[in-house]
Amino acid sequence: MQAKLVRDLMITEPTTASPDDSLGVAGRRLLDSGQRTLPIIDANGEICGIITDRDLRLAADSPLIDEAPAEILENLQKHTVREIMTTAVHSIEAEAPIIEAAQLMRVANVAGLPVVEYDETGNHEHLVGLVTRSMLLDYLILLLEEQNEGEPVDGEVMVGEEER
Amino acid sequence: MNVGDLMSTQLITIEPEQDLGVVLALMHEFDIHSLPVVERATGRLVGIISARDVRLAIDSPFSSPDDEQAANHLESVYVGEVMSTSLVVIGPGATVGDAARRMLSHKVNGLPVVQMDNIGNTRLIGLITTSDLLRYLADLEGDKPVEG
Repeated sequence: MQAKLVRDLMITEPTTASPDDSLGVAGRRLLDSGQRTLPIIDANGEICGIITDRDLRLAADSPLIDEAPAEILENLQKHTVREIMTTAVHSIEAEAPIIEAAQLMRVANVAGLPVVEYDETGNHEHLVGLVTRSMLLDYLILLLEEQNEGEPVDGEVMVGEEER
Repeated sequence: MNVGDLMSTQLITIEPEQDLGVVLALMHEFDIHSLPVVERATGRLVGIISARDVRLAIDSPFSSPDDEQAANHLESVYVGEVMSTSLVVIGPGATVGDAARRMLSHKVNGLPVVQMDNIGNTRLIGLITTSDLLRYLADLEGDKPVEG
């Protein structure tokens, strides 16, 4: 079997938000989309940041202990994505092999990577997809299932046996 | 390949009698968001405490004008009072696929690996995380020819 590329696993047209959206809007989008990572796109269509469900939980909890959910939500409406987004965004290209996505997510310790494409000048990147840890785990499960089908019933899985 | 082959065994743990000040110090030092809670006498896994549990348990240090007061408060709350005791765990003999499925279905980034000792205690023997699984995936993929 051939090595997969990011484009084989990514979702296209991921849900995004703008830096000027409120945290309430961003939270709603995360919930509705089922994504745990939200790429933030500026007015030029370029990626300027990223926020995660964890960032939102941190924003919701910290100044607001003991408040009711409605009040938390109201408070989130007063703050914008720009205030909490991470601006040093790790991204990957659609033609990169999956192994690069797995290594980058692990080393950068992130839950997801925006998938980007560069224009002819090579200066401007735009979002074409999203690849996440969950998608890679789904793929790992698939790989292992396929591998086991090819093994004798009592066979040992040989790959990577010497590691760690 | 089983969970026992991929798990890390160098663990940072905490005891239920320790206070939240110690928890925060460990979380900062090792850049981690959660700690397994282990009984010293038995090695039994009794809970897990996350940075979020700590934040929710203390008066907000961000709104307090008096940092010393916040620090004192941290030291007066014990791990056993605020830890979560409903745990999703896995055994060392489970397959890597089982671990991946369990992490996905419970939406967690890691699983404590436990083993029953001969007197019936569920001992913590390791930790497996999504990063361990990504490393394994990279190994599997690295052995294949690249497309195109």
